[in-house]
Amino acid sequence: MSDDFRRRARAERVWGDPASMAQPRPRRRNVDCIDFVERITDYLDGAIPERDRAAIDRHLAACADCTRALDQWRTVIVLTGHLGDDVVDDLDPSTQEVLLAAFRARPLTPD
Amino acid sequence: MPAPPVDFTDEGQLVAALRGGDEAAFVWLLDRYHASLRRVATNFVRTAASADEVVQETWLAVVSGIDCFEMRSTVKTWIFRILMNVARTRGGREHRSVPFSDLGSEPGEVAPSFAPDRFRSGFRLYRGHWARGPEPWEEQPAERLEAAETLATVRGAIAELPDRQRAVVTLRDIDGWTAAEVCDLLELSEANQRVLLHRGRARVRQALEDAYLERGS
Repeated sequence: MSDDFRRRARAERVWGDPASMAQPRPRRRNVDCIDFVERITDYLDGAIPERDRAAIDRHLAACADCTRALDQWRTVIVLTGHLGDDVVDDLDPSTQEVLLAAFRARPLTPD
Repeated sequence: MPAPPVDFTDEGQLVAALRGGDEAAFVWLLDRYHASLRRVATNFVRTAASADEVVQETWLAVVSGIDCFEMRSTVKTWIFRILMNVARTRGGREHRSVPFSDLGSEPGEVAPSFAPDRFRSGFRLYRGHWARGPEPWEEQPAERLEAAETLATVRGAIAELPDRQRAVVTLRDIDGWTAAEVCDLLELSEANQRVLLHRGRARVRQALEDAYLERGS
């Protein structure tokens, strides 16, 4: 298979062959829901190649359930983030004292 | 003439100051990482008291180990590696229900994000498309969604995750680490890091959906 052929085949998968655009089902790269849901984290992390991303965006525009799945991933991230909220940020003074004492008691080694 | 102030954000200056016994450097380190260590530790041991002990033990190891730190990683990565080791040792000693097994050797988990029967099989045109889409739990009002009960579901789901997934989810989604930092700490490739994160989030999502259905929506 020549490189040129391969390139054209790839282009057709993504954009559809211009000559066949009038046909009922232009050949373009389809995204299956079952595959998209495994790529949501890649999608959110910007780890999807440009070409695939365009196909996914087209799919999302038409698929309410996949759009919901994506929203739910975002919600999971927000809710998980709240778990850190209740951690007391301040070091309590007595612990700080213990740690500082240990630091002071550390034998210093000359450079 | 007074010496120029030490820039603790410069790793070399920070480490030199710590080695030289500069208390301000140590206090700076405590301020910067203590809360973060607690957040992470909380997800590796069962009780807040245990988490505090793990963090304290970590700091003591930092104090006694600073002379041996070879600066082959960032100070942050080094400190959190110590935390992981302390938590792991402790998990083994206490037979906790959240054992911290060897992060590197956990068998890969291949469970899909949604059960296979939620997608259509058979007829070609619709194969791989939703048969039963996600339940609309995320549409609940914010009061409900951010209620203590919901957060307990999230916490419970994370506690049940396999070690590496729990570690990645905790660092990325609770403590806000970048992907690169997590890869460095856990010695993962970017792709593996994302797989673990994705699996972990998928389980949390499923737990939220299950809880929503149990309540009769």
